[in-house]
Amino acid sequence: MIRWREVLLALGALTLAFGAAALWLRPDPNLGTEADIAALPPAEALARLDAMDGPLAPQLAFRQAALAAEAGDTLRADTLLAQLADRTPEAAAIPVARADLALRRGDTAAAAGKLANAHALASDPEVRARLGLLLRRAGDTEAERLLLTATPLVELSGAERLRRVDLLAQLDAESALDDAVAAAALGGPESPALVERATALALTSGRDSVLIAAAEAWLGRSDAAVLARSLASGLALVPQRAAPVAAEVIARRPAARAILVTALAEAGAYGAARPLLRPWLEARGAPDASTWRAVTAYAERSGDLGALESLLRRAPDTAPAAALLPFVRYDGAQGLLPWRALLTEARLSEAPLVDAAWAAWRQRPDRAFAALERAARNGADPALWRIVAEDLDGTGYLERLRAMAARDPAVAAMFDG
Amino acid sequence: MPLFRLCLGLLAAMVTLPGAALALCDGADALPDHVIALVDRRAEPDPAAGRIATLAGPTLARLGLTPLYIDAAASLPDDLDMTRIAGVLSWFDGPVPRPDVLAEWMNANEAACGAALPTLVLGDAGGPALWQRLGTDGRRATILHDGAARSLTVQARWLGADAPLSVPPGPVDAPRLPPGATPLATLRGPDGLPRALGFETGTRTWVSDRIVRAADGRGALLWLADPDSLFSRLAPAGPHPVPDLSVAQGRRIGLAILDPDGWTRRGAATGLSSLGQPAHDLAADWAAAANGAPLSFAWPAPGALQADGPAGSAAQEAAGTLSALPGVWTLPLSEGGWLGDPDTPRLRVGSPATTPWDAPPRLDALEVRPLAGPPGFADPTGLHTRAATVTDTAAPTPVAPDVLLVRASDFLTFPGRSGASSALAQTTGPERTPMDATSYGEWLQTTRDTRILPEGPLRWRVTRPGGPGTLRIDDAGTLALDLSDSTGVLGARRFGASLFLALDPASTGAVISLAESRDSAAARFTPGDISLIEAGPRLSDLRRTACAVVVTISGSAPGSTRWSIAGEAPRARIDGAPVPMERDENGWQVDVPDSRAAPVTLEIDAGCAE
Repeated sequence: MIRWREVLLALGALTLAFGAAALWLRPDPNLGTEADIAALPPAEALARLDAMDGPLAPQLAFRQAALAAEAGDTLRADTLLAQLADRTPEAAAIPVARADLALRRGDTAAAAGKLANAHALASDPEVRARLGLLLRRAGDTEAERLLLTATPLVELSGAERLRRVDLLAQLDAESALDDAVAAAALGGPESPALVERATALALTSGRDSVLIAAAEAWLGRSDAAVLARSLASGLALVPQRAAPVAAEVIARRPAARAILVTALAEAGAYGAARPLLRPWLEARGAPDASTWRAVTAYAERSGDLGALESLLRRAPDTAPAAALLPFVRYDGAQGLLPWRALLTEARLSEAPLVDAAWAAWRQRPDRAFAALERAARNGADPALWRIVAEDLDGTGYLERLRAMAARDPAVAAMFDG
Repeated sequence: MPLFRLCLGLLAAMVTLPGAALALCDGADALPDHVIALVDRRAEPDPAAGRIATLAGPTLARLGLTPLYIDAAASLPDDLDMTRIAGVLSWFDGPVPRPDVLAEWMNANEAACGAALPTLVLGDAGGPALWQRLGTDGRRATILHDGAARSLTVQARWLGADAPLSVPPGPVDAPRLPPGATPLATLRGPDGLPRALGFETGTRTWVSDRIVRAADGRGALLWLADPDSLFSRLAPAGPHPVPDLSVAQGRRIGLAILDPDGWTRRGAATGLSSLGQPAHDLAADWAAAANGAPLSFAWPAPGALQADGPAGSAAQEAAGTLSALPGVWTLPLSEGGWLGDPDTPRLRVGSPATTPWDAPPRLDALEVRPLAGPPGFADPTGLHTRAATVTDTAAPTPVAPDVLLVRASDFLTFPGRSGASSALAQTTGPERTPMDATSYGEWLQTTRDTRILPEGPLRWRVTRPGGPGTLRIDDAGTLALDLSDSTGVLGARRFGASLFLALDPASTGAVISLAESRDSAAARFTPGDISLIEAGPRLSDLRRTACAVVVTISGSAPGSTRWSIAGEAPRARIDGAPVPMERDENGWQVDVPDSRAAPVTLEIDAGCAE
């Protein structure tokens, strides 16, 4: 008996449990309605939703507002969304939709307010980006600054980080500098611009130590060459402080010497670049390829050929042909005379412009002509190319080059560039 | 006698309007209509797609000026017709190859002109000689800026509409202010001394491009300085007429263009499918709803559509049906300079120029792109938002006509269809003059051939090949059209500070005369005068008598006209039959019938003869 009673009790309990589960798992009747609505043409779907009694389920009310907006009834859609927001205030999709409706009315202030509501409910990168742009267009700098500073730097997009630095800089250079350094450390396509900002902020606020520490890190990255150009363009504008800053950076990261020398030379900061050459000149042994490139770039830009001559004397065998170009640029072809032992066929084939200059000097206009044609196709500097080509004046070959320019864009670019 | 009158007029213009006199070179017989646009084609190989064309071009076109591109990195022309040059504009990123040669060439041009040309230099001047021409030393122009807002001082009129002026930290071109120059924006340099971000010195203006515009980094381009303030420096000063590109007969022009993108998407519905109507059928319904208002379809001919398979055949059939609808024009995609890129809609108007002087005024991406509208809630095509953008634009928009560009694929969704319908209703509604794109292109060509000859301080003779046209006079103040001294003009309408004059298409020569008006009316009346305010249908050959006008209306769908009449009991007749007139605070309205089959004649009598 006891056993039967237990069995009956167990069966009863199971029945109750299944019953409760069935009640609990009962499909939401709104699901059926949603499916029906989705199958109807928009106008009929809206009419059916309008005809329903009582407050609609949130998803149906949202759909009702969307259908009204699709039909062009913006005001009604906004009213429906406002009523829905009163019932379900936590849904960020509602203020986003109301912001879109406000934009349709051309009311950017209202749109910004709604996007701010949505952002407060649930932080979303796209909403934040749209809100930031609206605030910027409206000129509400303070609200835009608050928006961007309330979000951790790492969560912002690259453009937002840059904008945050710019907005902070308007008020407080120190915190802007800290942000610029931190943002640059995060990488991304805005890094060069952030490095430029950080350099300007550090140099104008006298915080060289922050710049030196940051630059040490920048020059250790894979995009060091690009970042070095941003750093150098700022340093070039404060020549009296550029040299000590650059020297300190290289003292901490000697491996970046070639990169920084090249960047400083390109930016015209020759005074800062020159002291950085000294270790190469004092060293023994053959310079590596990056050293040759950096010293050549310095000579090309500055016209100061002393360092290059020193290296050429010390290690002539490892010199690339391009290292001879600065002599042609600043001294003409006769500048090659001291280095004529280096002008082997192999080297001359590497550097057609050197080949042309040397050939013209040796009264070999045919060879100079052929080398100039090759140089034009190899993307030579047009100014230097024209200087060399002028040496062919009177030989007939300069006229041939001019005639060639009419049909050869590469040669034409040399004459026009 | 005409020569004597011309000399007298020019003398009077020089005395009373120094700005206008400034822009006239020796030997000029008309107001100049070009600006020399110096570009470095090493940096911008195609000037037509460069910064001046896309950013400055629309504003220049509004000012009646067309850029004449000259490559500063190549040999410079020595035979320019300076009588057509209003000024010089340059926008370089860095030094040009021979700045001294360019500076000498610019000086020679001024010598040939006989006057200092207005010169606007944006960004880098191009080299030491060109900086010196501005009176400053460019070699020490670049400084480091800390970004602090307090160190920036800007003249209020330079603030643009998009965002307040701010200069981010970093290197910035900010030379010392030349002696005697007027600063437009200044920055405190690291040495504590003021540096200029923009200045005026005589007829020359320099502006750092860091304060011209800013790329937001999120895909948006913001104007920082006001483009109108910038480029109006190249135009003659004082009230003067310029051909307007956005208004016809007192209403903003509406162009509706259907792009074939997605034309063959979605095949026709069958009994077994519920895919709905294909795009071409939906587009045909939309076009039919235009009720004959001009529409342009962006393909050369229906037969040129790709027609692979049943959907393609159906599309060709639908295109044939569309072409048969009244008011439908096809728009060549590959000829005539029209482009319809679905992603970045661009409107280029006019044929490719055979010579620089042939280039017509050009409207480009700057106007059309914002009108495309961003997608949003229940508006995936952005057409609803676009319509709202147009509605909220100050009417008439100062630069461009209202261009509606609808892709055939937009019709595939309900919100797209709804948006296209509301935008079409707006484009062809009573606030607009609907025009087909081909006619608009022809109109701009006639604009190019329009010459405006000053005959007095407030009087101009306009010679043109005929056809519709509008002249706009900015900063008109209390000036109004003097009907008694003007010919070849249908009427005038005032929008804000500008006065729009509708030219008579039948007239190849017009005389525009302005006079002070005691009230705010656009035209100065004597009893019995009648002047057109606005009209949708095309009016031409207006003849005035002492107390009446007779005008021909042709080639138009039914529409309304509105008139200013200096008479209390006016009457109107169409083809001799009386028609009702309604009066409100804006004037007298007369509705006119369909004139596409045959022209109709509208007579309005001011009522003073009795």
